[in-house]
Amino acid sequence: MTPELVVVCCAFFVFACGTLGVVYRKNPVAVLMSIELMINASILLLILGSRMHNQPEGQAAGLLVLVLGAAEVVVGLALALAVFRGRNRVDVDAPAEIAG
Amino acid sequence: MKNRYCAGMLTLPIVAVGCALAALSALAVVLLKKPVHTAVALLGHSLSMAALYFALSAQLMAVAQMLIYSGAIVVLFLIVVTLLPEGGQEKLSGGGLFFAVLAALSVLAVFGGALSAFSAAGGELLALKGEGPSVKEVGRPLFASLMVPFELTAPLLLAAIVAAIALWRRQEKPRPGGVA
Repeated sequence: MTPELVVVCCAFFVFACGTLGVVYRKNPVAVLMSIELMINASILLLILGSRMHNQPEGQAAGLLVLVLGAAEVVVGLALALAVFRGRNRVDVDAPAEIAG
Repeated sequence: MKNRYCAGMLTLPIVAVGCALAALSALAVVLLKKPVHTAVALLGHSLSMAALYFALSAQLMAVAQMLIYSGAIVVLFLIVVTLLPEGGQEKLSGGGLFFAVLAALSVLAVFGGALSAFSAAGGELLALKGEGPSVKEVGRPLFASLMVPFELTAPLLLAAIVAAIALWRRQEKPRPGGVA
């Protein structure tokens, strides 16, 4: 097993963990953290690809994805606070006003 | 200048330790029940990812990961956890875990299928050679081919800040005699 394959498998596993968290958890903060795991896994693959083909564009794109993730967390956490602060229990399935 | 910290070749023990830490901490983020423990696990995951980036000779990304994720985002998560009712404690069900594991296994099956199809088509993961792009080389595309997305991050961050403040002020009670 080559080190490159280990990194690829690790990224796949971390992404699957993120999926597990998004489906399983009911706390909006934990759901956002799981989305962060998925973003981290994709950045790891971008960096590995950039390094494999010796192209700096991959790392630069990874940097942009990192900033995108930060913006997503800021809005997501503000939304979680706005929806759940006045409630007794934290459950993303509970609020009727955000049901589709 | 020669890079003294990162060897050109990727060594299996270093990568295996970094990947194991990243995978275990990712699992802890999902499975630990207390939100504060989850945030600490996310901090561990972020740091192990930064170590992996260093091993892959991506120094700029490693430093950005430590500053943005470990420094700012984890602290933001901790602050929000303290503001949520019951400290963000949740009631999890066994049935939910079954469907969640099913979803995660489906994702793994899709990725595994893609990797095996890639190998079957004669593709192989290239071995890493050389020292990798330097910080100067990584910065160059940000002002050339990736200039538009790079410049668009500024209005994106501004919009995120304005959205966060607007969401917060909407549920703030007006103070007697105050402006808000």
